[in-house]
This record gives sequence, structure tokens and C-alpha cells, in this order.
Amino acid sequence: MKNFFFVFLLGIFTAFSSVAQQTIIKGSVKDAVTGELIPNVTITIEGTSQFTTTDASGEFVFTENVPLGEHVLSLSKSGYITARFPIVVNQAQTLEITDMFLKIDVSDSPDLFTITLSDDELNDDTSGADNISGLLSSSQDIFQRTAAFEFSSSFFRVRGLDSENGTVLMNGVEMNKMFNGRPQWSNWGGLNDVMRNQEFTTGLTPSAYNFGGILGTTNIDVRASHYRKGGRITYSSSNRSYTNRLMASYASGLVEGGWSYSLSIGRRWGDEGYQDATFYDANSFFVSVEKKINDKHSLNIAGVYAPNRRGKSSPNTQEVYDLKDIRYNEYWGWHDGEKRNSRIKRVEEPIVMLNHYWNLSEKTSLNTNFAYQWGELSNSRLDFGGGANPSPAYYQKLPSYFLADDDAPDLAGAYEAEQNFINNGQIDWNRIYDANLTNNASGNYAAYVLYEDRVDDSQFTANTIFSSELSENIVLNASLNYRNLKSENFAEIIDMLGSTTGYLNRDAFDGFAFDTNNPYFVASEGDKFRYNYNLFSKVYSGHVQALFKYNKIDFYVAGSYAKTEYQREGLFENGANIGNSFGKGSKVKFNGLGAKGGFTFKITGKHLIDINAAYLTKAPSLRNTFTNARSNHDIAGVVNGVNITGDEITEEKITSLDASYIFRSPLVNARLTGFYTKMQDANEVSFYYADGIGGFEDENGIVQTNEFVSEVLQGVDKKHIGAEFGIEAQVTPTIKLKGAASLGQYTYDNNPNFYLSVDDKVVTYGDGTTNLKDYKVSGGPQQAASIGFEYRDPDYWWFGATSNFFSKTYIDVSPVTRTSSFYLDPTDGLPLNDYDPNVARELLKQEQFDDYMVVNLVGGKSWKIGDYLVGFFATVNNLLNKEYKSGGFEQARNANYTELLEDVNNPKRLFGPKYWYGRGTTYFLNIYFRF
Amino acid sequence: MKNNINFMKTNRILNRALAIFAIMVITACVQDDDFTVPNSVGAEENEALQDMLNGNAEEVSILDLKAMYDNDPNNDNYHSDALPFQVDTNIYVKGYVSSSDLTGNFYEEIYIQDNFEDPTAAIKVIINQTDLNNKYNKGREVYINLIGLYIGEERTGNNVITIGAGTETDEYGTTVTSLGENLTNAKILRSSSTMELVPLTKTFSSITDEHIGMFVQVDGAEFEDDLNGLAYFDPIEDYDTQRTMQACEGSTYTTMILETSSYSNFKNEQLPTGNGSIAGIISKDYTGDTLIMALNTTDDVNMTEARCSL
Repeated sequence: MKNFFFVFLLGIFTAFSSVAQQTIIKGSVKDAVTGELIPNVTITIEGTSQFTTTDASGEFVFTENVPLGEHVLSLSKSGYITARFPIVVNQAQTLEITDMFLKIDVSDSPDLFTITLSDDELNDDTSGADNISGLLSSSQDIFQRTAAFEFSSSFFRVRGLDSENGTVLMNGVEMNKMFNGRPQWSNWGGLNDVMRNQEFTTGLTPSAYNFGGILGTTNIDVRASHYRKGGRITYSSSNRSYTNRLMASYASGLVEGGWSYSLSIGRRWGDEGYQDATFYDANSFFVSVEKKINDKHSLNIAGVYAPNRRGKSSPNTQEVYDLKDIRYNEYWGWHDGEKRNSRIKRVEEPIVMLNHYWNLSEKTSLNTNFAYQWGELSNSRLDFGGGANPSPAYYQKLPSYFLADDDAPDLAGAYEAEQNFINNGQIDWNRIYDANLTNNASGNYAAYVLYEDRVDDSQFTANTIFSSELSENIVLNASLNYRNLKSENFAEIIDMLGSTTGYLNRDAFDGFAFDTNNPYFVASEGDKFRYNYNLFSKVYSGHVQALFKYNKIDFYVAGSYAKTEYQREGLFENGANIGNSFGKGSKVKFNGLGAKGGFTFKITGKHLIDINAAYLTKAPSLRNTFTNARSNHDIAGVVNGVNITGDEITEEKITSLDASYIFRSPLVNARLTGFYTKMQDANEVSFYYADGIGGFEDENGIVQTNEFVSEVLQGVDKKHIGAEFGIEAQVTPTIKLKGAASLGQYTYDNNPNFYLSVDDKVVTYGDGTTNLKDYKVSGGPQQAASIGFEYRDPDYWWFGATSNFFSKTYIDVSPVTRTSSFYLDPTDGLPLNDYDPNVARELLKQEQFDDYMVVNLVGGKSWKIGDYLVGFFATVNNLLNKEYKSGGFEQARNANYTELLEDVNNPKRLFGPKYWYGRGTTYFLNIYFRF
Repeated sequence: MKNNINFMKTNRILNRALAIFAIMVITACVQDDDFTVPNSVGAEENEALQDMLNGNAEEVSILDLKAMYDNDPNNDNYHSDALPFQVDTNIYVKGYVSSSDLTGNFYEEIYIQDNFEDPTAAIKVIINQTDLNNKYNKGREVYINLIGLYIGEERTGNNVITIGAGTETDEYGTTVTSLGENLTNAKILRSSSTMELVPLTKTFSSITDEHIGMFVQVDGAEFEDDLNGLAYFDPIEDYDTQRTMQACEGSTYTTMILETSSYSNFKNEQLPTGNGSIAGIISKDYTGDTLIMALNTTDDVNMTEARCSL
């Protein structure tokens, strides 16, 4: 009894003393060059689950559960080289360390990705190409960094997934566009220096900000107080998309009165990038101001504006590439001695946001944000209502057309066409103006106009993000989100090209009015024509997430819900869709649910196992919901109010699993992952201009030209399985070897519903489905590998090289030829007489592009001059100037076996696939000055 | 003191940097949006025309040009042995475009007549291009540099004399083929003048092969009684629809066929039921046996009076 009491007292006494005499580690982190305190540095006590971050004053403290004895503090922050400091912790003592320094990582070059990224957006009408590297560039994982920097110019997709599966946030506000779900990187292009604070959580791993998609979440931190005090001026020279870039930025750090601000301006420009006539003209502006109201509240205002204009370049058939070269671009022509590109993309979409940070307690915080984005997104092109197709690579102008003559190959015509194309082969602006001037004299409407397809979005976002450390092992996150979009879509004439008579707002081929409310409207510069509609979208969502961190195991579980509502409002009554075009259509509603969970099991400090699983249902994007928004209210599966496929539009379902083995040691880091993703019930709506597309003959058998076609796939299933591997080894203090690989197989997993929708009709083929099962998904190489090294000299210069191998890139197949009508005679529906299944198999084989290897170099040096840092770095991509196809698509022209066989048997194919080629050798040189 | 110097150094560096920045922004211009009508529009064509007119080329009349081709070499009414005439002397013709493919009734062809009013001869030219009306517009004065080109027919014996670039032969005879882009740009040269064509007034009975290609007007015409309520084009037909027009000449009807292509954009318009004037291009039907009239546009049809009655 007495013993018990004594032990009890001892216990209380010990407990008391441990409260009264805490073991504390505290200190600050400074910049190795400038000596300034660095905020937002992540400090981890290695081997434990303890971590914290330095505050705005660069200071940190560990007060709870501080482990005793010898330990190592690991310091990391994006933009800095991770550093490790050994410490000794004694019980009930305060350990103060103020001499920890971090060095700027001069090889940290998000610039590498930004060039190939936002500037490489291809023609949105026809390609699904997009880029995910911006999502990954801030990752510390060697595989992801390789994917971001080495694989991006090949349009590699991590796990074959489209960038809509990853979320990009800025100060907690989602930046992905509601139209197609993808982040629009050009909205903040040219602001690299102030967009460096990025926090990336990969795949399904829990993010502090949202539930996220299956590809991960990147949060770009633009909070003014989180910037390192000082300024930076950067000049760059390149031959990729722009030729020159100038950026200047300055951050104040925390100043008197609790204020801090950060500014950046920049310009990127160039007359011509790698492809001909791809000019670049962009300016960037950024400002962020924060006021620390008191210890609990802080308010930040940020504005981003990056207006940019660039000339686009065309995908071309092999015949065209062979006659010209891989820089050839059919979109431009000479205009009084100047290269004038007819297809210009213009993005001017400023963002303003207000962020409120509230530390309810030391463990709980609430971040509330309001953001508003508005502006214009435009793509220009020529319309030819009264003239011949102005495209210099129109199939009727190429040698193949003359060689395919019904009677006999017209060799003379083919030769003339070939010489014309080689010697010229560009848009004839003089002819276009002459046609309009001639029509002025005749009193006829314009034959040609230059117009832009406009998307003017106004989007308001409000959200609140809650985070609380419930105990030392449990963190709770939650969020509520509201997004409201009004998207105004219309075509507007931007240049009458010499015409004074105007342009009739009626379909030139079918003769119906684009707006029966104004059936004979004559449009001029600045007028809306062709189509005019609004899309409204509202999303209400929320998520809850719990993270558990223990010694041996970390695990998490999270759930989310999203209510999505879309509605179309037609402002024109399209003459071919009367009754289904003007006014507000029905609302389309979706409910999205998500659940995910996973754990990381630490076998030892060196060996970890990480497993994640998720199941989500999500609303299709606006683009994949409205099948023909320019003309009518139709949604996937529905035509003129009537369901034609038998399947109602529904949420997309995604099942995702991954398992990784991770090895960590001071010298070697490695990860091996296996993944499985199954997507079901997705819609894919793509648009293109058909020229003579099969199935669109009018009643006289005349094939319509220049129809704007929507290709609708409904209920698409895909299966992505594969493995990723990454390893980096610091073999000597100065040399690091690295390697990464991704081997995957991404295929269609069913035969989805398929139909084509044009202004006034819908065409179904066979039984309404297309046989896509087991065809490979197009979009980047399904297999990629990289090996390389980095050398860092203590004298502040560095050099690296990688060899990258790509294979299994597949062409985008045309669904039209994979339907059962392929082998049926269109007149009687019976199998074609001459149908040979072996030949058909050859014709329908999916083209796989050649394997190729690309060598990249990178290097740089920096000098410290007094308090300033000056340096340069340069990269050379594709050193060996390898020519390779990076993507392509089959043209939809030949609808059945007979037509396709005839085309293939021509001396040269008329309607062969169109391809994009990767760039040859390109360089990027960056010179910077930091103060 | 040292701090002051540092500050001034920063300031100077900053100033220089900002100056460089400003210069680069100002001088860094790329393609802007302000384009106007190019100065070089029509320059090449004008030059080619001046060269031809000031050179050794001689003008011939359209009538004389047509006579260079004989579609019945043995005078035996047998046309399969006719051969297109290849022009081997440096001659040119001048004419005014009489047809227009704006409505789609004509396709890859133009007719030119020797005068914009009171024409005496006309000829056809076949060109491998669509939308010719935005270049060779109706009423445009054109010159055709003929050396190397062929004069013949597209169907031997139909008397629609045509200028072409080459020939092709089948079991029916040797016909001419279209001019391609290069040849068209080099040979068919426009002057800057566009004239208002005055239609040649004729009666149905007085129209003959010599009027082929001319812009002709007939007054007092109406469509046959049994065509009431029908359109210019009959959907059953594949290519062209023939509609008979009649005029009251004395005690009988004289008739002529109006031919409308399935590609024309007025094909579904109702035939007028009244009486009045109609103007179009004279040509032959597909077989070459019958004279027909083809419209440039239904604006040239003014049948609003009461029908004539016999």
C-alpha cells in the first residue's frame, strides 16, 4: 500500500516536473547568402513523426514529445537545397539553434517545364495533348521530377492520366478550369520566380487543402509573407516557343506594421519559336500584399495578370512533312513581306483573390478565400463562306490528290502541285484580300473573314479550409467550396480582310440562318456571329480528412462530396435546331462522391511500404457534357431532347489503387510503385472541322464540306495499369546518379456509345457503338525511361545530362472506322462483297510511333558578389536533334472498308493521319541576378 | 558610410536594370493585330497584263478564235475525229465575264463575251477552281493569253467552244481539260475594270448556237402551265433539272429550257407563275443537242405580270 502510494507520488512528481521543465528545441533558419531569415521552412526530426515549419520570422519551436539524445534535423523548402543538422537533445533543457543556413538550389529550375508546358498548348480543337509537368515540378520525388523535366517535351502523362485528374491551387483556391477540368498554366505564365513556393502531394496522398484527384494536388503559395526578402532579375534566351524573356521580382519580407508585399513583372516575346511563324507576345504582372493583423489573423490580397498572345502551329500529314520539314506550319502566309499567322491564341484572364488566415489556436487554423477570375480566351481562324478553302495544305492542293485521280494518275498536275507546295505552300493573303475586294465591286458579301472563337469566363470561388491537430497523432482537415461560373461563348469577326459589304450570318453550305431571330444579319468587325451561348456552372463541394501519424505507421482516410449543376443558355436560335437552341435549356445535375484511404508502413527507417486506394464519382466536365453547345442544348446521349443511346448521362467513376516500396538512406533514395486505375462511364467529346467526312452527304449524295463536327463517345471505360520506378544515388559528395522509368499499359476497356453530331443532324454508325476495346489510349509514350547524372561542384557550378528513352506512343484512332458499318455496304446494309478480314485487320491496326531517344543537358554557374548572387544556367534539349512523332490522329474521312482501302492503295494517301513532331535541338539560357 | 555606399550601389544597379528592362519592353515588338489591305494585291497580275499588252501579242476576236477549232473535220457530221486546236501563235482575246458561280449553278467554268453590251461572240473557259466569282466576277474585263492553250469542246459536237489547258481522249472523241492554278494565274488576266453587263434581248426562237456563252434576256416569258407549284430543281434528278419556258410569239408558244444544277442554292425556290423577263447564259444541255439557258441568279428573273394567253 505504501509502495503504491510512493510510486504514485513519484509518478505525479515526474509528470509535474516534465511539465514544468520541458525539453524544447527552437531556433531559426537563415539564407546562406543573404543571411535573411527564411519563413515556411519545413523542419523534421528525422526518424520521428515530428515536424514543424518556420513562421514568418523564420523561427520555429518543438515543444511536445521532443525525443532525447542524438538526432538530425532535416530542413527543406522549395527552391533550397535540403540540409541536415545533427543535434543533441538533453532532457528538460532548451536547445536553441540559430546558425542553420539553407542554400538556394540554383539548379531548381521550374523554368524548364514552364516553357514546354503552357507554351506548348496545341490546337484545342483536335488534340487531347496537354501537359502535367507543372503539377510535378516541385516534387522532391526523383521519378516525378524526371517526368516534369525530362519527359514533358514528349507529352508524357504520369500513369497515362490527363491533367484534369490533378488539381492546381493558388493559395488554396482551385485553378482548374470548369470547361475541361485542366489547369490553364498560361494564366500565370512568366511569373516563375514568384510561383516557386509549391507544395505537391502526389497521387492519392492526403493534401492539407483538398480531397484532390487521383494525380495529386499542387498548391502554389503566393502569400506575401512567405517570400524570401529580396529581389531578382532574370533574362532568358531560347528557341522553343519564345526567344526572349525578362522577369523582375521583389519581395519585402515582413516589414514594420506587419505588412509584407511581393511584386513581379515580366515579358516574354519572340518573332518565331521552333515552328515557323509561331510568334510569342506575353506580359505578366503579379502583386501580393499581406497584413498580419495580429497573432491570430492575417489577410492577404493577391492579383495575377498574364495576358499572352501566340501564333499556333499545325499538325500535318506525313506527305506534308516529307515535302517540307518538321517546322512547317500551314497557318501562316506572307502579308506585304511579313509572316502573318491566321491562328492566334490569346489569353487575358486576370485573377484576384482575398485570403484570410485565422489561427484559432496553436493547433487549429481556418483559411477562408475569395477569388474572382474574368477575361477572354480567344482562338482566331479564317472563315471562307464565299471562297475556296484557304488552307495551303488542303488535300486538293497536294500531289496525292492528283495521283489519286479516278481515270489515271495526273502526273503533270501532281508535279505542279508538288512544286507549288515546296516553293510556297503557305496562305495566300493577297488572294484572300483580292477575293473580298472583287466582291466589293460585285456588291457581294465577303468571301473571307478572320474571326475568333471566344470564351469569356467570369468565375467566382469561395472556400474555407479547416485544419486541426486533434492530438499529437491526429490531424483533421476539412473544407467547403463554392464555385460559380458564367462562360460566354461566341464567335466574333476581328478583321473584314478588305470587305466593305459585310458577312452574311447564314450557313454557307446548307443555307440556314445561324440566328433565326435575326435571319439576314450582316456581320462586320466586332459583331458576334455563327454561334452565341452561355454556360452556367455551379459546384458545391466539401471534404473531410483524418490523418494518423504513429511511429510505425501513418494512415489516413478521407471523404468528399460535390454537387454540380450545369445549364446552357442559347442567345441565337440556330436555324437547324429550332426549339432546341434559344433560351435556357434544362439543368443537368450531378452528385460526386469520393472516398480514399491509405497507409504508410515503416518497416524500418529505411524501408517503407505505401498503399493507397480510392473510389470516386465525378461529374463530367462542361466540355464532355454538352455535345454541340454551339448549336443546341444537347448533352451526351441526347439529341433534340430524346435519348438516342439508351444510356443517361452519368457521373464518371474512378477506381484507383497503388502500392509502393520506398527505400531511403543518406546516399540512396528509391521508389518502386505499381498502380491500377479504372475509369468508367466517362464521356469524350471532341470537335473538328470535317472536310468531306463520310456520313454527311446531303440528299443529293454531295458530301458536305467545312462542317463543324462533334464526335461523341459516351460511357467510355479505360484501364491503366503499370509500374513506376525512380532512384537517385549520391555516389560521391559531388556526383549524383539518377534513373527513372515508367512502364504502363493504358487501354480502352469497353465499346462505348458513339455518334457524330453536326448542326442539323446526327449520324450513328452500325449499332451505335464503336469497337474500341483493347485499343491503346493515345497521349504520350506509355513507356519512358531516363538515366543520368548531376555533378555539383563546390565552386558553385553544376552540370548534368540525361538520356531518355520513349516507346509505345500510339495514334489517336478514329472511332468512325471501328464501327460495324465499316464492313457493311451503305446502300443495303449487307457485308461488302470484297471484304477481306485479314486486310481489314491491317487497315485498322493502331499505328505505334517509332521508339526514340532524347539526350538533354543542363548546367550552370553562380557567383556571389558582395551581397548579390549572379548566375546563369542553360539547358539543351534533344542534343542529338532526333526527329520523332510526339502525337497524331487518324482523320475521319474514310468511313468504310472500301474507301479506306482505296485511300491506302493510292500512290500517296489523301487522308492519311496528321502528326505532331517533337522539336529538334532547342536551348534555353537563363541569366539571373539576385539581390 | 559603408551602408550608404551599398545602398547607392544597389540603386545604381537597380536603375540600370530597370533601364535595360524598359528598353527591351519597348523594342520587343512582335506581330501585332493591325493589318490592312496588302500593297501588293494585284501587282503581279497587273504586271503580267502590261507585259502582254506592251509586248508582241496580237489581239484576236472571240469569233475568230472559235473558228480556229473545227469540230467536224470531214464535214460528215461525225465529231469523234475532231481535235482541239492548240494555239501556237502569240495571240490573246479580250472579253467580259458573263457568268457567275456565286449561286452554285456554274461550277469550275466561266463564260466570256466580247462586249459588255451588244456582244457578238462568247466562249467558255474551264478552270479547276471553285468560287471563281470572287476573282473573275461578272462584268470583269479579262484578257486571255492564249499561246499554248487549247480550243475545243468538252463534249465533241455540242458547239460549246471552250478554252482549256490540255486534251484527253476517250471513245467519244478528244476533249479539252481544265486550266490548273498556275496556268490560270499566268494566262487569264484581269484588268481593274468591271462593267455592268447589258443583257442581249432576244426571243426564244431567235436564239442560236452563236449566242452560246452570252448573257441573254428574253421578255414576255413564263414557265409552262404544268410547272405551277414546282421548284427550279426536281429532287428526283441527280444533277440538272430542265424546266421549259414559253413565250407567246404570235399564235404559238416558243419554248426554251431553263437548266438548273443540283448544286445551286436557289434550287428549292418556287418557279414564278407570272410572265416577264428572264436573263441567263445560253449553253447546251449534257447531250449537246439542245440549247438551254442557265441562271446566274434568280434576281435576273422578273415574272410578275399576268401570264400571256394564246
